[in-house]
Amino acid sequence: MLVLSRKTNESIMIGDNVEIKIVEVKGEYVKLGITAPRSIAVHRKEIYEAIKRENEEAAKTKHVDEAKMEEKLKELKEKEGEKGKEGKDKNDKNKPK
Amino acid sequence: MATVINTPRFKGIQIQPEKIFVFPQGIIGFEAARDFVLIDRGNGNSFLWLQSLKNPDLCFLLIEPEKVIDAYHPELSSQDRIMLEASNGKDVTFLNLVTVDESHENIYINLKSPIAINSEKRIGIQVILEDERYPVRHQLTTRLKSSGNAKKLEKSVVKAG
Repeated sequence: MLVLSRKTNESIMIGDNVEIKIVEVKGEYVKLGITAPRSIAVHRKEIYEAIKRENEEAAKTKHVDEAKMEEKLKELKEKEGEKGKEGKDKNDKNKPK
Repeated sequence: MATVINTPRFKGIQIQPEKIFVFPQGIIGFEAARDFVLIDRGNGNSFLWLQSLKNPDLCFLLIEPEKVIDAYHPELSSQDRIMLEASNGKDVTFLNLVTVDESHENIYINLKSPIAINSEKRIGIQVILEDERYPVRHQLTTRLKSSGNAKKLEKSVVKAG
């Protein structure tokens, strides 16, 4: 990792089209301003990692059985329907959409 | 001129060029995959597929949030809106990635980072929502709503019944 020191309002160039500027330093927090082309996404690392992991799981679709999925959804909707009926007498707050 | 795709899940499906979505940043973790199509099996299916054109093995399961949850209000940042070329957000549709285990007993949807598509401009991105209420993994349980908004996606999807 390249480590550089910068003061507020100073910048770093990465390649010729990414710029990172130190906007403000306040205690432990450093506010960064990032300029990058549209094709490059910029995210906080921990969020990026969490989403990347979840996307990798989501990409595992070889085993997905579409009929089973529809059935599962239908099951869940039916359970919801039953719950709705039970609550109907006690709870008359149903508003039309 | 239509392209024909052949993937493990979709064989010999014709893709009209106007149905191809460009993801300028790819998908998080899969940044090289830029061209995708949305495939709908039809028959009142609840799910849609997001199939990569370059990589036949890369395919995600999506669902419109309106079909399965209430009170989901994703908000685009100004950066997102620029990426999507959607100044007012009206042309934008949100779809959530679905994860399911082998048993199909547990279905999860990613509320934190939905796919946002601009149907007019054929641009797609995966956005990351600031709202802390939305988890990356939300399990679909019995709290479901049965309405859907299938109509608005009709011109964006490839039918593969």
